[in-house]
Amino acid sequence: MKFNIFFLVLLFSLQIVIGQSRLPKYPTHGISVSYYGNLLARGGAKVGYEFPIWEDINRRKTGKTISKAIVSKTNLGFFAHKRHHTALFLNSTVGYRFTSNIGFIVEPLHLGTGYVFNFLGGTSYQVDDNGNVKEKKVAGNSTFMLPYVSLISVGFDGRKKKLFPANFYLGADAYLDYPVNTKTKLNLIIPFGFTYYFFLQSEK
Amino acid sequence: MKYFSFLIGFFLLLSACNNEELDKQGEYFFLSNKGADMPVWVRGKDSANIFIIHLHGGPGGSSITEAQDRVFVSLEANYAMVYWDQRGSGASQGNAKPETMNMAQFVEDLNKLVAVLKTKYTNPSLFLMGHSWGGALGAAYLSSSDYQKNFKGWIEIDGAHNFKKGLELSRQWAMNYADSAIAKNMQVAFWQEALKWYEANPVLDNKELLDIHSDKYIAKANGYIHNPGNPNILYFTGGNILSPAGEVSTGEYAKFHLQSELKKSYSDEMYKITIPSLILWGRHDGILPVEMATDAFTHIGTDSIDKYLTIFEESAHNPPREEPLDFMMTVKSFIERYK
Repeated sequence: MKFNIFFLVLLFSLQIVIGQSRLPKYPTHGISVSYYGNLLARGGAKVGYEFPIWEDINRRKTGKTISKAIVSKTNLGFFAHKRHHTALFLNSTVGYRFTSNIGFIVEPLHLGTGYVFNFLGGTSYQVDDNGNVKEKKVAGNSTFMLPYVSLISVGFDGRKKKLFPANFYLGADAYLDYPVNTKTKLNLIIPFGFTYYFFLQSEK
Repeated sequence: MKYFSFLIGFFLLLSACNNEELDKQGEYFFLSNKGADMPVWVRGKDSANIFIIHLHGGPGGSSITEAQDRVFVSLEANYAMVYWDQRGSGASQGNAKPETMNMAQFVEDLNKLVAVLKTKYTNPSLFLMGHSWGGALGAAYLSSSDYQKNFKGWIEIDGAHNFKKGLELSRQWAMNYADSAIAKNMQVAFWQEALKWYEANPVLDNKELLDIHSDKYIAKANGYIHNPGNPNILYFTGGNILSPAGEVSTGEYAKFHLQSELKKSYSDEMYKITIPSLILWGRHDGILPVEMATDAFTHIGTDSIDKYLTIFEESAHNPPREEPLDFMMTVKSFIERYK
């Protein structure tokens, strides 16, 4: 547990420190909104904030440019499994992004971690040793996403051809919930949505 | 085309829910106790004020999943069924630690479930129904303290109230089956190998041996399902991924941590059970052979006019699924007599 919290704090801190070391030439800070489906069908949503920790634009002899970046993302979201639980989570990932000349994006294997509170999908009762029954006010349990892995994400970035300051993406994520009966439980997620990019005040 | 087929398959999976109406019915709540958040699903005619608490098998099974079985849905026409997934099992959530995975804790959980039902409903008539591992839990609960006063009756279905004795009988049952198969020239090499394995393992005292015994030999000998070709048989339809049963664990955690509990016997405690009792068993049960029905019947302390034994001639370990109509009528007749 202590290691999880330490790892989470370290990841967030690193992103803040490193993220401030480079200033982009076009809008790279983004706010994302996406559908967040546990096994696709258990619906939810997330909002996120992203920025490149490192970015390199490479002009080839053909005149085409590709870009490579290490991107940091932080997300707040939820998904609901009716009559089971609703998971509210905060997570953060770091990973590589390739953007082709026309704006096609591929992001393989972003790694991170996060925290989840699982609200039970119904009223929960507790019974004391004298047999008195009472409703539990905040019914649920805490787990960590250990690790959180965005396996793959593909999409289209409108910034590349200056079409619009946004991208659209579809991904496949997975995470291990820990602890569930002292062990881990696998979750598979399909997120799809868009990211709107903007300049920070200091970059204008 | 391949991707199109995949998509069609996926959406069929989502919609393969002839039970989706069931999923919306009844009252769904949780019992939270010592790290575990255990789901409880009360479904059926609760206005009748007769509640049957279903104790699933396993250990590590799921009542929430068995709630999809039509035989229980049929009982819901007259009574309220209470489906409860035990800690570390089925669709239970939370973090049930290994030190809480023991019979004493399961008995405490059940007693707390009874307290919740008595608080939520006015003066309910309660019946307890335990299958397999649920038979052990029911026997342990009813012979503890004065807990049986909470119930109007006890229904044990192919129960593991004395798993140690049951396992010895089960080992013999498998060896007899092997002898018979060899004599009939059926899969001779397989059953000869089985006999060698049983001779090399006279005591099945760990999970690995138990898994081989049950999954490889008892299942092959139709010791769980007597006649897989029976057109009337009910199989689990399970829950789709949107249903509460769509997130049921494998049960390995409970199975692993309750191994030592499976070595206990409650036969010698069952004289304390004096409430009306109905013992139901499949004639061809290979994992808890039919001799265990007599063991339960003779050890229960209930007066002989208030205890009943019914053997289902076309069933193995699961009469509710193999002979659902007879099962339902037998249970209904018992409950009507003692409600």
